[in-house]
Amino acid sequence: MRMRKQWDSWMVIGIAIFVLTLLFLIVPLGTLFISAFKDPSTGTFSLTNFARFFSKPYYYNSMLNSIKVTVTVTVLCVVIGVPMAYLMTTCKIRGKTFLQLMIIISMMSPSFIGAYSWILLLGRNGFITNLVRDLFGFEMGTIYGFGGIVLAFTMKLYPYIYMYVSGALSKLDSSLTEAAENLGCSPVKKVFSVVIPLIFPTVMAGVLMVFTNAFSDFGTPMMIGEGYRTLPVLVYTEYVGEVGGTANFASAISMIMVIITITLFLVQTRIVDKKSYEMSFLRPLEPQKVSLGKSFLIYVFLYGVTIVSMLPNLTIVVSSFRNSSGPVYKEGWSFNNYINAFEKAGNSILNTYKFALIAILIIMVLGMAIAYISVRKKSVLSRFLDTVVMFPLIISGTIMGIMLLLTFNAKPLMLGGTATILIIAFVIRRIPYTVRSSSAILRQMNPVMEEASISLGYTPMRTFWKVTCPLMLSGVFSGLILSWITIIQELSASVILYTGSTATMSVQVYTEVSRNNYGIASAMASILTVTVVLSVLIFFRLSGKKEISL
Amino acid sequence: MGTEIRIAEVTKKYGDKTIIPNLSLTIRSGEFFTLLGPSGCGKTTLLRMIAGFNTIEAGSIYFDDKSINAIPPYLRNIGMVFQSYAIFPHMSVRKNVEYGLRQRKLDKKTIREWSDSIMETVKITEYADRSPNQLSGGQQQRVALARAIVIRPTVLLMDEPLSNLDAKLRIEMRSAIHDVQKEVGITTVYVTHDQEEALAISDRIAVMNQGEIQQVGTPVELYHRPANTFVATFVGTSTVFDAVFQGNDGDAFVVIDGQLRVKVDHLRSGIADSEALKVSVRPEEFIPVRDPQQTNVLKGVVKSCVFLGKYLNYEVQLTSGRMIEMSQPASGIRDYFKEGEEIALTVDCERINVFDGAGSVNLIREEG
Repeated sequence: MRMRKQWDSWMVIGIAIFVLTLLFLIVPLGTLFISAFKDPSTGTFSLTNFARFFSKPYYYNSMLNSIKVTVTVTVLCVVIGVPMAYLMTTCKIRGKTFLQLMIIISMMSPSFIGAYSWILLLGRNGFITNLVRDLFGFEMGTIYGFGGIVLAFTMKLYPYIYMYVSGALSKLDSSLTEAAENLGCSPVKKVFSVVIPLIFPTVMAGVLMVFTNAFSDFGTPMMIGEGYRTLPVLVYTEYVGEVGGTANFASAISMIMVIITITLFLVQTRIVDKKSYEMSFLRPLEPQKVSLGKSFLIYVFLYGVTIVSMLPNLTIVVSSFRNSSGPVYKEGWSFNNYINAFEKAGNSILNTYKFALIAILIIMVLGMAIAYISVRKKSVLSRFLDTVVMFPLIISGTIMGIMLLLTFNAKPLMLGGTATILIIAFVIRRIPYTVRSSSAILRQMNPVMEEASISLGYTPMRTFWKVTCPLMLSGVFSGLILSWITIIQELSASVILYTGSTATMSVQVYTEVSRNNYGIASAMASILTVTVVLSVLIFFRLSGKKEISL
Repeated sequence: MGTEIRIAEVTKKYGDKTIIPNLSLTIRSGEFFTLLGPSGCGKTTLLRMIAGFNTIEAGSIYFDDKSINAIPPYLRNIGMVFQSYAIFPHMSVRKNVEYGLRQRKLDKKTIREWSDSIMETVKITEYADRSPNQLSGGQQQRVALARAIVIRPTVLLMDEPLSNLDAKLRIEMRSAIHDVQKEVGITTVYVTHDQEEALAISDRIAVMNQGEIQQVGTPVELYHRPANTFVATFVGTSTVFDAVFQGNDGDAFVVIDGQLRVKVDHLRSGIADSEALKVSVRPEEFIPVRDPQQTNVLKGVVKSCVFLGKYLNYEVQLTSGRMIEMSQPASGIRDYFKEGEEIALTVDCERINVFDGAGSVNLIREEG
């Protein structure tokens, strides 16, 4: 009888999580779907919104822009990331650990801040632009628009490919490449005929990651795109815009975005399924010494890319100490920007940490529970949870914001404008990382461990606390760090959901830049960047790891 | 002292598939009882039903006349040792051993005394403060055993505890487990697929196949009087021949493989003339015949010969083409057969076993 009661407590938790998922994810998705098919003037069901989108170049061009940007960025990231990973794994490189840390930090830094930094460097009044003008007396082209977006995205996203491919290469058995050499392959041919086919599925996983990131990011194109409009920007302006903006139309565009991402996701899974190999792994590839001439080129490439991708972070920190007035930086250094930032927007700094901490606690508890239910209590319910909870990975923040606002801007659950709705958005959007890492570690854990504890007299619930929980923690934290870092820099959902009193640092940076308060913006952006870097470093220190599992 | 386990008409189903149909078994108090069978025979399933990790679809399991069906696993007071040890990696050896005691609201002194004493018994005292990942497989299994016994469980259950150890350690741990069990005197159910291990360690063995118990008996009974041809071939090695019954003036004869006619004394009555039978012969029950005049023999050729010190193992191909295994005690260098040599064999008619045509009933009468 008591066994039944114990089983019931997980059942109750499972049902509670199911209800939460239903309320905050499924219902909003449904609302978005319905809203997309509603005629804004008559309120009846129709395809008006979609017709409108495909009839005006102003609208469908932004879709083409999005695709152009995303494809270009993805190709560039592969072109940069794959060789970097290959060289770092197969060659002896001085300062490898340092390079790797820099790459991880550029990956983890907020992308819209990267875009903003590129404006500080290469914009109309940018540091490098001015330098070139003063030294050589000629005008560089502007980076606003397509070029700037691609630059900012590429420098932020190539690390994904790098990380994925490094992971795959480190699991490649050296006997495979040695066998290829034995059979008379030249080094170049070896790479193309053995290495690339074997890591292909991993490259594709990275490609999907880069694609969804670039496709759904709102901050970067908004900051640096100026007239160059991509889909997330269009969704945002249509939703909040005063002229002709309707929620229904924004929903329809969101639907189009979701469909494009899902299609791509399915295509990727199809390709990867056909091309995956099981490999026996005994001995990793040994880094080789390289000749002087070659190594010079390799060093220029590796350090070059890394430094360029770190440049935005350095720029932002350095410029935060410069005196400024409006969009112009002046002579002299001081803490004025920080003083102004704290005076004017101190509460947004507090909000960021407060909301993120609350969200991360909820993510930890729910994430572990969902992982446990989906791995250990297999049922229809748990399979449903496992799949649905991962949805938000392919839904952009802007869409998430709109979904939630459409659903909870009316009674009985009037959450619009509250901190709660922001925290809900954070949790839903970033819980997948923690669920994924927690499930992974649970799957590796033999259930016999828990049975041993039960046979020694501990109830299943106490066993969960005494045995399962402590053994899960390392896995949970490797997901939590990713959830944490992405939450504190969340912009796209926050910018839809915030009101004056619930603004976060990201939102503040965004609004200060658009109000031309560059000083405050760079101070806030620096605080954010430093928080990210510190979080990464502390995580590495505590976990003894040297990478973040994506 | 120990607890009797009575399994009464128990059934286990996964969905529509019946794994164990209507099984009954009594395990006596204090005995070392082994469930032996090939993988997938349901032995682990049955063990996990006793432990409470598997549900019981029908029937009951009793500990000393008390049904445990409705008792959840954490209240059954069972000590369990797992194939993969299941040592908690985040606790020291001592913490592992004390884990079950701490749940039992004992005072600190008692916990300390009990765990010290059990660690002494299984010889892990010197590792008490180590972390489990610093221990070898054998040491980890000792920790698992200590952790299971220290709670003074009603019964001790072991699920293939030695299968992850190497051969030498397995033999060492086998006797350690046996000694500890005898010292503590706790009713123990042991699961293994290794018949040699089962014979060495058990008081009694139940041989299982496809969810059913084939035979329950002491190691000696199982080996010498297997209940059917499955047991005959699974426990030790046997060659099973087709045979025919011949009655003659109250004497019973069996014709093996159509060639060898032997008189078998303790056969049950009521077997019809010319009835088809099965006969199982163990390697040591073949007797070489040196007399070339003798025709009532099984003829064959020695295909291989392995000298193992105490005895020799031959593979002999009979004229029927059938390969059989035969062994011969090491007696003297001149008596050995060489590869390729022709050989004539008869069988020890006192020791061979005779079954019905289906091989499912042993027809030898129990002697006195």
